[in-house]
Amino acid sequence: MRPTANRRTSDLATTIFCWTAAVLTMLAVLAVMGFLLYRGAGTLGPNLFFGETHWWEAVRGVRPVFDGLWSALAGTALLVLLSCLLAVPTGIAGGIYLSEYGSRRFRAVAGFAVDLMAGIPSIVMGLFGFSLIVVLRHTFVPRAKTGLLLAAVCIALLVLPYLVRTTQNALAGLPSHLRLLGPSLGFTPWQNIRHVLLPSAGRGILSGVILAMGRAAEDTAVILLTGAVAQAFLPRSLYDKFEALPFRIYYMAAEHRTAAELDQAFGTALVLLMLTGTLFGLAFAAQRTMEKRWKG
Amino acid sequence: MDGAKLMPHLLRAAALACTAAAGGILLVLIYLVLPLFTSGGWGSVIAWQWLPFQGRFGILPMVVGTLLIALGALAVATPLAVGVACFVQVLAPGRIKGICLALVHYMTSIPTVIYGFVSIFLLVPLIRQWFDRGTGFSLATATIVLSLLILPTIVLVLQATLRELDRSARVTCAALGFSRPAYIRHVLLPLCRRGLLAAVVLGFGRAVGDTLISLMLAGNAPMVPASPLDATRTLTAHIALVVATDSQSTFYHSVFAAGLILFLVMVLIQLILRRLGGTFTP
Amino acid sequence: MERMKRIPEPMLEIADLSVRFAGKQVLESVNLDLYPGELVMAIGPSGSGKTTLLRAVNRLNEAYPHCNTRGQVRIRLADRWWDIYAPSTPLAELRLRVGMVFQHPNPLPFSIYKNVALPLRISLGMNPKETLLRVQRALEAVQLWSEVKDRLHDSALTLSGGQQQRLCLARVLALEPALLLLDEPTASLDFKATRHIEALFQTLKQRYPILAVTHNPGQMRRLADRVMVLQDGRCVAAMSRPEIEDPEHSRRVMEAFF
Repeated sequence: MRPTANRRTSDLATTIFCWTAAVLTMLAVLAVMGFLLYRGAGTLGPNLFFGETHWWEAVRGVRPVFDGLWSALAGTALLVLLSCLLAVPTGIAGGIYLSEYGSRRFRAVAGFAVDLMAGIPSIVMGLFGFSLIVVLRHTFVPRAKTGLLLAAVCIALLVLPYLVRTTQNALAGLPSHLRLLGPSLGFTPWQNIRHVLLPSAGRGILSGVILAMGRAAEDTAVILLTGAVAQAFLPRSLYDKFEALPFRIYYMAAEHRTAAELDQAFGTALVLLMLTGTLFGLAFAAQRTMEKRWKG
Repeated sequence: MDGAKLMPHLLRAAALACTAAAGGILLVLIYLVLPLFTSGGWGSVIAWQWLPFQGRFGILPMVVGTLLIALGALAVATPLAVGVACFVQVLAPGRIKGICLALVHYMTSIPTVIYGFVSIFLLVPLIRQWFDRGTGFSLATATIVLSLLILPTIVLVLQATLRELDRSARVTCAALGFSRPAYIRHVLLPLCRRGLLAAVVLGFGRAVGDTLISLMLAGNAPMVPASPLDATRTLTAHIALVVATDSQSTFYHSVFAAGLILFLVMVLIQLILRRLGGTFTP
Repeated sequence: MERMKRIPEPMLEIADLSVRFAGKQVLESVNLDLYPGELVMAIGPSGSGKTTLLRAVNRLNEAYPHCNTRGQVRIRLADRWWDIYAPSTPLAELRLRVGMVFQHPNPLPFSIYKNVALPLRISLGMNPKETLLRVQRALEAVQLWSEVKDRLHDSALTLSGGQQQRLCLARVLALEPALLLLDEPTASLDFKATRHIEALFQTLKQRYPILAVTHNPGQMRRLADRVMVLQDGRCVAAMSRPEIEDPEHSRRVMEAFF
């Protein structure tokens, strides 16, 4: 009753294959992170962000920063903030409706639209924003141009489907006894959502929101077409051009003139990686606690 | 009380807005592509040469470039992803399983621009040295990096399917004396075909839709590459290049056509996923 | 000497077996010998450790996290004793020789034929011709052949619950195990299917020693040659066949522990 030699060979091959795949993947990711850390860690410091400008004056916008990434960081923060202001309430509300109210038919249609939107490449979303400006210029607003607001709208459209889906999934993942709790106490559907379901699903939704922020912060293709520029200082209005971290990285990769600029590019990339990494960690933690809570 | 009564309507409005947004984007794109149909511009777009200043606006090389890069990335990423998913679900010892899974999750959050940026200084010189040909910005470079980008998508979708299967089949198969590798080969993999297909289709969608990696690494020459070390250009990079360089508006037709093609590919992918049934979100 | 020889050697020896899951004691100092030709039943309320006892025999407890097993389980295969928990014992081969039928029918989502054939092909490395014969014999042994012979390539999930459970039994029998473990194999079946399967076990125990668990006293009375009563992971009583058949005695034992 010994295993045949043939079988033992294929077993060994399977095991080796799986281990190799896992190790290769881990190595690749660690190589990316390690290389960035190796080249960028030395540049981290106030100088990277503010250059020669005093930090307080830079933060207040009194004096522009020429050789630091402060404006890019601020631009990205503004972009994330604006797009989340637009997308988060809409996305969560839409997700609640789809999960708790919508008829089967509506759910199917809207679900398809949401999935479709989630699949739209970000460059197409950028193109959409860019075309909006073209159309506006030919019609109502001859002086329309790309800028912060447009980019925020497009990014909001980009992350909206994620928000809808994570809200929907967080609510759908709740145990059914919880769903019956409200009605058994005489709550209206909305009261049940407001006081029972939303607080229970809160962390799942929160993790979705954080992930959406991460996506908003990292996306480059949309802002490439909707108003990000290489040198802009802080935007003075919603219609101004702006700088952003991912765009700066993209730009500097090709356009660095000196070794110092290249070092700064590595520093910028590291900052962006740490930013998205932190957001990811937060989202992961929120999701974890949510799962622990309902798996008992 | 009034507020509470209003809420469902507000929620409904939000849901409708989400739905309308998808439709709106499609409508705008169609509106922009319309001139191509009325003035017979498709003929100039569906062509093999991109020489805009000579009035040739063909985007077929970009279609080919997109397909080559996306399919190449799938060819690299799929076997890897199958290995990783099986490793995580069946073979990995407890702690390593957790670490590996967390790392794959983390990969989804690495910005594409970072992959592109790091590769320029890490992979491109290597490719240039190893093959001693060209600039290192090539189809092969972009394909390798893109496979890393789509890997977590495939792994996570596949692993979700495997987890469900494993839950019901693991103990049964252990009791029948299957070794764990045999269990992977003969039970899990044959049974997860549908999930694997969904994962591959989703991965393909990500690969086609990605801009930054091909834009930064593929070299962007608007031609059909003759070898993996040749430069090529994808539809997404084409849009980025033409729009971002403030080209003349006569060039835009080709860009809108590229956008519509990408959009339609995504519709197709969604339809395929619907047919496969279930929800496959990474 | 003549008489000594007639007392058969046991097939399975469980000595001082204790199992803990994440620190929680599930089985404590259980002893049991299983002889050829007999069907021993462990009976007890849910949570008494019955299933854990069975799974200790084919080391299936290890498929669950934080399991700690102590004590000795030995099995006699081809006149040689194997310590089941010895590191040198090949686990997969061991499990092949110890057939287990689960509480819920658990056919794999393949065809009827493939369910029985797959372990033969993979674990025993049989060729297709042998496999076909073996599958047919196994399905005949569980009286399923006539019902499914025209639809062997339909999904096993199209079968009724009772048929599925017989299919799972056939899958195990096809591997020609040395003994059978039955984990409440009729718990999820209706009355008629239950009787059908119980009748099968009556004939099967002539060929295979069987260790079964149940929480159903009626089934115990119908099937068991010997009974051990489990409570909170300990063996608290034992009954022989005459005692089982004595309604007064078995009622007293049952009432004491349920």
